[in-house]
Amino acid sequence: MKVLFIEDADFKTSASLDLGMQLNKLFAAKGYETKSIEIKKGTLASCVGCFGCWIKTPGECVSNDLMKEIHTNYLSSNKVVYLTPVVFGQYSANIKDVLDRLLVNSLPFIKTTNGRAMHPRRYEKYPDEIMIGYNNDISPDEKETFLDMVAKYRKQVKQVFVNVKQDENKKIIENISKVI
Amino acid sequence: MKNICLLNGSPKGKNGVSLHFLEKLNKSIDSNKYTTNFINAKGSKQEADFKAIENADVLVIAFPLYIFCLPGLLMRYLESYSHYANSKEKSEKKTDVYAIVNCGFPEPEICNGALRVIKNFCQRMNLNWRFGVAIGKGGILAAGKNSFLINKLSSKVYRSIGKIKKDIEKTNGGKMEDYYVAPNFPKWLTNFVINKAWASKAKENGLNRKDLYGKPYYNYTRYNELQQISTFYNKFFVDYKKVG
Repeated sequence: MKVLFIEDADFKTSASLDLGMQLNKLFAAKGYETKSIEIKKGTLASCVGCFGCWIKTPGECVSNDLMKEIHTNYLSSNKVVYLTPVVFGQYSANIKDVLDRLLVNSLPFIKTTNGRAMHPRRYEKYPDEIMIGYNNDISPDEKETFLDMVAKYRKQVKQVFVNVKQDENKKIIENISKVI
Repeated sequence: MKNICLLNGSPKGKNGVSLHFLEKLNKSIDSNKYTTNFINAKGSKQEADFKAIENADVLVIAFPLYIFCLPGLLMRYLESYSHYANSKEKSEKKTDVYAIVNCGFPEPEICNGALRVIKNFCQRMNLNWRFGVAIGKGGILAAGKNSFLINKLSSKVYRSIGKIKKDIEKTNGGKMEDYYVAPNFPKWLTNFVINKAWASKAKENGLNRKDLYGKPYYNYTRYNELQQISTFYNKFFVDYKKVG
């Protein structure tokens, strides 16, 4: 069993640092092989919307950088934990670059299921995701935007948390330990 | 004279359909009363452009929807802008902000989250959020922007963009609702056309439709299985050697 942590290296709060450490311990104690990838500004190019991963080299991004490491680790993991700052109610740019470029995991075609258009999956199996948003100051609107967006449009996310203070960490750890 | 900043947030830069919407808006604006200034988030000269945004009376942000929210490139741009603006003294001026967001899917409603993010951005930066226009079937619009028929079917889209122009001309406009619009093109036909288009684009690259389903990293998805097999094999092999 394997877990992948995808973290933003440019902005961390004391609560998120503590949470990251505790999560690492928790997964290791449960027998997971842990892998952590931190994304800094400049280490990962933004998606430019060229659709090369759909129509030039299907299943692989045309730009060969840190994404290859993220992608192979993503596919080989059972769980993926995102630790992302919440900025204006969205993932930070560093984490959003990862999510944008994971587009390679869906197919170009559009299929309407339950009245909503979707791109079918490329592989049969994907890891369950856990999304943790943090910041020192998150407004109620931002929190609501973040939670809504994840719940509605990221079905592979099984648990989502917003973390501002360090004393909330204990509860988050408890909830996560129930599902792993 | 009011000055209007038109920010193109497309990672495709000048090749994206976002610029097309801004150009449509720019054409309708009376150049005797307003000055307009185009800014591309892609390859932007940040310092100079941030100053222009700061001094604008009106800011219109146009961008495509990526994974149901703002593209990473635009997100980075807005983060940098907020660092820039926070490092300076807050001005009294309240810039009016509009957003035009387009998605490839037929339902414009899925752009709702992205509009909320821009709204939150305005709240943080002390800007005056007006309203947004969310556009569905962006791919069809982009492909047919020079076709008379598609433009005719998209009249609702262009009318909604026209509402931005009308609102800019008004002073002290009341609260406005967001617009959710798409070309008048049946959903099933949209899906059919898009799926056909991908297959024909693949052909240009020397691939056929079947190749688009490629799984180059398939073995990674079987990581656990393969590992179990290898531990089992190692154990058996080691034990066997011992016996031997």
